[in-house]
Amino acid sequence: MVNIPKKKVGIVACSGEELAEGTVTRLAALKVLEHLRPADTVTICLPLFLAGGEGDRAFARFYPTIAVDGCELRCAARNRDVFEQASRQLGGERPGC
Amino acid sequence: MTGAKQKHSVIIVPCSGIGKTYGTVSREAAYYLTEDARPAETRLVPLSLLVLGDEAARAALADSPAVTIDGCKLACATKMVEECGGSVAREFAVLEVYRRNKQFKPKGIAELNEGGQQLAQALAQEIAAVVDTLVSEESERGENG
Repeated sequence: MVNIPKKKVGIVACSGEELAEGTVTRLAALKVLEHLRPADTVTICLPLFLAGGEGDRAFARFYPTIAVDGCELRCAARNRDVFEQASRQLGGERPGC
Repeated sequence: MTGAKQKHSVIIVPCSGIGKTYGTVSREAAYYLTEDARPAETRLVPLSLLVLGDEAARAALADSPAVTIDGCKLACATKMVEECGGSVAREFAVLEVYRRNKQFKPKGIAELNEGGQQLAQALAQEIAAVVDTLVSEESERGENG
């Protein structure tokens, strides 16, 4: 069983390398994590879900998350929703490619 | 996805690692490469779009070779490009580059220290050499084909 910290909120930031807004979301997430709420938050890396990041998957399954998106595609929110559902369904299909 | 497709473009897919120094180095290296070192020959594709299954991002991978930059052993960027059917011409791992450039010790996440910036530039230069080779090979194929 993965060891998950208690009473934390996951920050899922847009990883948009292509847009300046993506950098803003990432820096905002890190500011929350490092300065504003360091004891209450963790960051969640979206691609880690696909790569088998068990800690991230388990966290999204049991704990609240906040998505921060940089554009109208809303990658962070959409991926978070998809993966939260997938995490609840063992053996569920993986999104994306 | 934005930006016009280049004739001989190489797709650059960096790790999107948030919260870790090596992830930031991978992203900074991608920026150096695509904005300063080889802007005409490279095109950055965000990993999150591939995860989302964005059609334009997938199409870009179908048309051009990809160079991936991973910040940790999970190799998300490389795995995702392969899962999307892309051709990984070369995969870089920040840790390996650091082992070759131990004088540049990276620190910081939101903002890299000087060592981190130098490591990112060193990584970008290594990738630039690979890009030059790929573009050259592509040009030769175009001339012969």
